[in-house]
Amino acid sequence: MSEALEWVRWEALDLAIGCWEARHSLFIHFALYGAILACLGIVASPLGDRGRIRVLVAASIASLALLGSPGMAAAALAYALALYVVVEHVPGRAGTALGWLLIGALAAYPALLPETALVGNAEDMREFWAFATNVWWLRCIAYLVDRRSRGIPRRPLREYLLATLFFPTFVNGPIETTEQLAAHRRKGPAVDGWDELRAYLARLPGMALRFAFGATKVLLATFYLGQSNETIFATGGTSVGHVRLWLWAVELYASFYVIFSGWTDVAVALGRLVGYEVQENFDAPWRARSVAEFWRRWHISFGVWLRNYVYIPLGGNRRHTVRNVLATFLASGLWHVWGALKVLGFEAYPPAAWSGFVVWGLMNGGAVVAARWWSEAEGVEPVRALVRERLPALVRDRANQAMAFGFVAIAWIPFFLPPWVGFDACWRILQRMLYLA
Amino acid sequence: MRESESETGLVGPRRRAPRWAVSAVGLVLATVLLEVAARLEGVPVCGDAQGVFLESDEEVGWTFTPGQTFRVTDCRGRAWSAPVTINHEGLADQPRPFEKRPGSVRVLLLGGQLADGLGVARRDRLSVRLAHLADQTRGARLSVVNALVPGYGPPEALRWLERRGLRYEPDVVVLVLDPSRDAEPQRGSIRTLDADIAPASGLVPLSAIAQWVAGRPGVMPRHPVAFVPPATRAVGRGQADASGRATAHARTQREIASLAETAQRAGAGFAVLIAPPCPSVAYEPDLCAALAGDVPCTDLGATFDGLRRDAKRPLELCIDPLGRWGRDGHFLASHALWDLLAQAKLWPETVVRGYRL
Repeated sequence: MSEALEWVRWEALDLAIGCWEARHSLFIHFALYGAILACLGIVASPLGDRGRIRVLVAASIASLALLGSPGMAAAALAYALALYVVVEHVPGRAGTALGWLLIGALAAYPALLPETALVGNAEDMREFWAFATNVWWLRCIAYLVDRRSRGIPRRPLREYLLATLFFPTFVNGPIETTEQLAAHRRKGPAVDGWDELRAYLARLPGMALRFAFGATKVLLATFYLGQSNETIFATGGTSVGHVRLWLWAVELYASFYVIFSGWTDVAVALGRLVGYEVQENFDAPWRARSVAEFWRRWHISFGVWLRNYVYIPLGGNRRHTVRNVLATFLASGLWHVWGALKVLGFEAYPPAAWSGFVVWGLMNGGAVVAARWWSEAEGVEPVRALVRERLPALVRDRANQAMAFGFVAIAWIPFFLPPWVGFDACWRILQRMLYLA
Repeated sequence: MRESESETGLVGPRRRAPRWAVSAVGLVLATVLLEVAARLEGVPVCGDAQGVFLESDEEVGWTFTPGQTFRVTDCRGRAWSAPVTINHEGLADQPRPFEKRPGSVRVLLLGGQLADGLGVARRDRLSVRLAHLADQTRGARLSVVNALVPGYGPPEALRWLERRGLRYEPDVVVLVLDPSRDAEPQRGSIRTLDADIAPASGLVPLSAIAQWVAGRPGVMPRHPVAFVPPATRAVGRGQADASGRATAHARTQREIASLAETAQRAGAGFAVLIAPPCPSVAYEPDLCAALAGDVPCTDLGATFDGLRRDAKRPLELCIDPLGRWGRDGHFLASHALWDLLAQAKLWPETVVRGYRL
């Protein structure tokens, strides 16, 4: 008993020191500056809607300057204004072409900036802009397409700026388009009367708990999970036993979920504090009974974006469904490649290293196509009928959940492949998981 | 009625009161959070303002100023900066009890500023990277004490080890030696700053926001000291002739032997890492050879030179204005040190043979 208590004491001490040391991490900076922004949004509550939005825009830009750099924040504002002017004030095809040119420029920004803009030891800054511009880029595309092709009404500049630069969702999503964020606006701290104030105060503990829960998840997962990833990849899985390798695949899945959903928890809580019901990004993805359902429960805002701006424009379910599905997942893989390129640079992340994300995308796309074939192909109807007949619904559901979970966990392996390890490591790990090596 | 009021439905001052109440609460919270942020972040300090960081210490000569948090930045406009927190022992290290966790292995890194980690992110520092390598092998936890202090050569490191370091119950002691400074006839020195830095007054010692506005750390309770590097480099200068260098090398070897003896008397292993200086200057790579057989030693000079010559991408081996290693320097050193200690069998079995799940 005393040994157990001693272990707990040391573990608690290590954890406390680890959390203290993590205070300069990108996440803690994001959470802290986000909380300050939320408080400033609350301070602005006596102002009207316009004033509050302007304060939030200003606070978001200030947060970008603190977390990124003043120069980059100014560049982000200038870029956002330029895109707005082009979309709203340059008519016809010229405006659309110019808009796409600006979208392309945002994609290529690391190559356009002077070398010293993102070098040095501020690695967090590079990661920050890599993640943020990946998400921001999607919002910019959505704005251009919504306004130019879908006839969605124009929003005032302040609302557009807030949607594209809203700090709580700027770094890591959820990906909210201008329309979505405007639709999610509530009164928040702009209360009318004491009853509304009491209602707002009654919701505060929930928001604070969500914020604390998210932060705790990120810190604990960073501290305890994924510690042996590099070694396992570097040794092709031989550094651990077979069972541990399966557990490691689950650990990859769990750590990614816990960290990513922790970021989302913080973003959602901060949004609610200032009156924006930012959409959820996760819906218990482990309950998914197929890979397709998994993608409706995992990184939901990105999935919706891919559906609206890639899958449906390609033809959706109307024609060439298989091609459209695979192309959509390939686009997802390449989007992640682009993010990694911005962090690591072309030299450290050459095309040969891109295979991890690409294979991950195609694995998921292939699984969605295969599942669709299984559920729709007439030739296998007798088999489907037999399964329905012999297996109770509960067993079928649990088996489907287990298969989807296992497949997704294995698919995360190429996703997390370090750039300095060849792709064959994934293959060797898989062989070892199956007791073939 | 103003347009903003029509949008929100405000009709009079009585309905505004709740909003002002919310606003006041927000203002208090924002101020508290700003103070927290400023305390966590620390004051931006130019990298070459070394006197601000150091403080005299009766027991060990001098250390970093305990309890300080600052962000080392390059005030010449390059885009790098890194936060540093000094613990209560005056080391650029995390808070750490002297007592060792059962089953863990403790390493003391001794030496001067070259590898103290100022200017690089915490996760990139030699001490943290070395501990992370043990995490990677799932071996026993490493507790690596970053006891590198500007101006510390072998004599100062010995003094610190005897008077303070042994309290950490080290299993391995490593001296990070800058051959261009520590093994040459001319060494750097320490001087007390008299009135260069005025004592903090007003709100500056109390509020991190005030410190941030004033642009300097607020706490300097004792004598700030500055490390003055050698005015000239010995190598290639007429005065430091062969006999002078031989004498200096012999002195350094004696000092290293004393360190090794002290460490071994306390039951700890001892090794030497010869650290290529920043900015790069030539030095005679014969110290490791002279120590061969007595003390495990590795010289990173050839590796650094090879990378400077052949690397396809610009490497951050040094942060030139700081005279310290950059993150790539720390990365290389961590692997070299790990291998050295493994080859010399200074790692306990529990470190290299993983047992953690």
